[in-house]
Amino acid sequence: MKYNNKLEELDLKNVDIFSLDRRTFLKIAGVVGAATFISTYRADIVQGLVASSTSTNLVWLEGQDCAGCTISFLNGEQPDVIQAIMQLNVVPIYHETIMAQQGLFVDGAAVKNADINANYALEQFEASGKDFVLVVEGATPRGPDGTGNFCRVGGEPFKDIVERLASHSLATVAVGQCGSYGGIPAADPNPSDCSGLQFYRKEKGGILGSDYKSKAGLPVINLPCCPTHPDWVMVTLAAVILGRSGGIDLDEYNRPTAFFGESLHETCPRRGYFDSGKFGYEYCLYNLGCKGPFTSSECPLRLWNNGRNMCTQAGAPCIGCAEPGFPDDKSPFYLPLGATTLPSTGEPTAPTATPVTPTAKPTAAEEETPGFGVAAAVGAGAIAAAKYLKDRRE
Amino acid sequence: MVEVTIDPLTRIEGHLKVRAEVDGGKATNAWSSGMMYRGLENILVGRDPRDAFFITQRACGVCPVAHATASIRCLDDAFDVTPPENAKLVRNIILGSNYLMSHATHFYALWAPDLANPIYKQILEDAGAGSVYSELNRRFAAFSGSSWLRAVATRKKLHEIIAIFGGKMPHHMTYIPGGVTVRPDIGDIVKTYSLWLDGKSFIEEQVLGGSVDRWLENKSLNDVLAWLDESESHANSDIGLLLRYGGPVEDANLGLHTYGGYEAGKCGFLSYGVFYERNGKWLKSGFYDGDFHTLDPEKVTEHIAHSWYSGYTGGMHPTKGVTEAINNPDFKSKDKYSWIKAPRYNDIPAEVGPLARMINDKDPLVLDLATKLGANVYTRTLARLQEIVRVFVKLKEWVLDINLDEKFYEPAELPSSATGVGLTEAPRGALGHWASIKDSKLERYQLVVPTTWNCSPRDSNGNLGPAEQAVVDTSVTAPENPVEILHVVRSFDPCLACSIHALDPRNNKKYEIKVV
Repeated sequence: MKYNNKLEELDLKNVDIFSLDRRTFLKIAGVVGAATFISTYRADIVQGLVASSTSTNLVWLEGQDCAGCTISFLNGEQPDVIQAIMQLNVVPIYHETIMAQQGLFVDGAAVKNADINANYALEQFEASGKDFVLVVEGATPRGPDGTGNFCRVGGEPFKDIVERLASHSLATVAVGQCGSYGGIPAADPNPSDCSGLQFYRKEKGGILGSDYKSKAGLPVINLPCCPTHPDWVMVTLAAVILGRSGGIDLDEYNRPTAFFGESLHETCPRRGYFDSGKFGYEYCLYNLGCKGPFTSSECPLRLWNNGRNMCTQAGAPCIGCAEPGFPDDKSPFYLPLGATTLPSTGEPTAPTATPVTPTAKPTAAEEETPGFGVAAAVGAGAIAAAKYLKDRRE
Repeated sequence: MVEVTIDPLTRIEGHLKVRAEVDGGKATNAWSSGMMYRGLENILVGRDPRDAFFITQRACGVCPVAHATASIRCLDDAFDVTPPENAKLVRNIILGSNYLMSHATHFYALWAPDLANPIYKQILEDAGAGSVYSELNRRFAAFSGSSWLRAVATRKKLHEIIAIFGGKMPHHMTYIPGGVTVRPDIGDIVKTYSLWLDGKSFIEEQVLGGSVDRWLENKSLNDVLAWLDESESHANSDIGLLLRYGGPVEDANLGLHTYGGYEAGKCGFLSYGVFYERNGKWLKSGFYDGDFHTLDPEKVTEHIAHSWYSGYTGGMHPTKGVTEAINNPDFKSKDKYSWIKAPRYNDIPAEVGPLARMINDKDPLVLDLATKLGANVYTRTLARLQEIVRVFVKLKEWVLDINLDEKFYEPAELPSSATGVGLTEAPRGALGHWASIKDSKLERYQLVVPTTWNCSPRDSNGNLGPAEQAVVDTSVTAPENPVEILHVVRSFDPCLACSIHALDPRNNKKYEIKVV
């Protein structure tokens, strides 16, 4: 069922969130408030998961990661990780940071006890042929010289482990900027020749190749940001578990459009200052380098850490961590896109640019590309910014 | 003799491999190997110096705040600016909250599940304390223990405090050279205090079984023994259980006080000091090697003789060292065997972390425990719990000291040429950032991080790293389930992601600490 835009006709308790188009999704979120909306589909997730008679096996691999996405996942609320495990039958088969077991060899031979040896537990599980969802956190190094030896786990290159498990996972989810696109370790000069799972920065391919599909017939689902948001992981897992992953609409960088469909700038809490031309640390952060207009993410609606805050609300310019090509495409972080010279860190309350007047609505073509419609509205300076961004991409 | 290999050593951050030779029920030699290389320092070269705050945080998702703190101290130094009092308080609140989150996560989710290792069932039953095993398992088992579940739920609240002042967490956003970008209001202060009260309930009900103030009256092992006898809720709290059955309080105990230390003189304890206080740092810096020494950062060197790097021999100061990865390492070798370098202080290996901080801060309780029992798994873990309580009390002061009418930022200009040093303490130990700026860009950036100290390989002089030394001489009941080695290595709270860039058997490893 496809919902139209008549919100008053929607029965919010029965919304199938995975078939919502982006605009409706955001409108509902706007009308009922993000928190209520999350709780609405929280019920959807919980009902669906409780109804599923079988358990869901989760294999969570960490490569060149910082464990930030794991920590963020542990920060989830409603459902949180404990609920997912205890009540929703999510079985963590392998997760290096929190599992009870560890890899164990005596005189080079694996200890054959799945209660103690993590490697053996995973091997036994793989041999069982059971379905599982594969989550990959962190980039995967190909270096040195294509060996993948810059990250080894349990005596083998991480790259080989990822390729093996991805070849028979029901669905494969890349969490965080690094798992999705390479992220920080892939930044210039990419010392370890690492990559995201199915993308290297903006370029399709990555470790698994552009044709890769999991058993459910899906490409890698990318849940970037640095770190990823726990709700995104939970909702995506739920969709896969419910067999509704086919309904997740992905954008050109394989991000679910429900979460990454619109520029952050559209819903930024400081948007009013932008429109009225007030710039500086206490106002709109655009001239301090904020990449919100060029970053597709629902951060201002969902907020972080149980709805506490988000970057621009705390006075920090968005650094664009949802976008492939981060950090190089978005740094220097304090350089406004399009500017040629770095601002020194100036008096934060002083306006640092000529106020701009919001112009007419962006053209349809501009609206197609998140961010650029907004850039057009800023006027000449931001058109230069768009050009700068384009140049950097090329 | 058998060789035990633990790979991956889980329930830590990152990828660590530990090899140990076990002979006659004891570990006789050990090798600690960091198994991942990212080259973060090379990524920083040529960037806007201010980007270091964002990029270095990504070294570690468990303690990004520590990197944020080191980088912003480094940048404040290079920009030649002193942040105003409010900015220091906000930075203390963010770092302090992450200390508590990190320590709680480490103790409950990463370290304590080993107390429920199946091997202890038989051991404790044989000692006539089968019910103790049931209780350890009921509380501390991963994913099901009652304390595990409550701690994993409560640790989130501390990240919510960071989000209030930092935008989001992990990887918060609000530090700039000269201060912070955030402008908290009275509502933020009230919410933070409320979250602090949630933490207080957890600490008093779960960790201590009694009041924070009463615990802090304990200044010695004898005080703690009296505290245990004072009430059943003390004795049955999580720390009570650990005190009684982890070490030498009850006859039937796990013997955590009998291994995981050093031979006298082979390893020191280093702290850079941490948390802003007027005219200095709240927890004091220093180096302890049997005597207390004033910290001299010039004595820090890094060795690469046994690491997969090339470029120099001997030890080099972080401002001079180079990081050239070897492209075809031999992963079976015990000559070069790690991506971790080997930092040394005055050429001595040094333990960093809560035990080293509490010793150098001359915390009376931890000094007494370390003097009477030595450095070992038991005292290292208790030092971490002691620090939880101390930082927690301080956190409230910092929150209430913020003056909302005063400034949070001091204007600072990007220099064209400068150098900076940022020394602080991550929850798991000493952290230093060194930067040099040329043409307003980073010319070099070096990080020396806690786990590089603790899990370092041998140095040019053949000295084992602290964790390697601590594994050597540890009793190993069963090589196919070497729980004692796991206790030892995990007691250091290793965090490998940012780190990348055992000698003769001994009879008595008890470290004699002189209290001055």
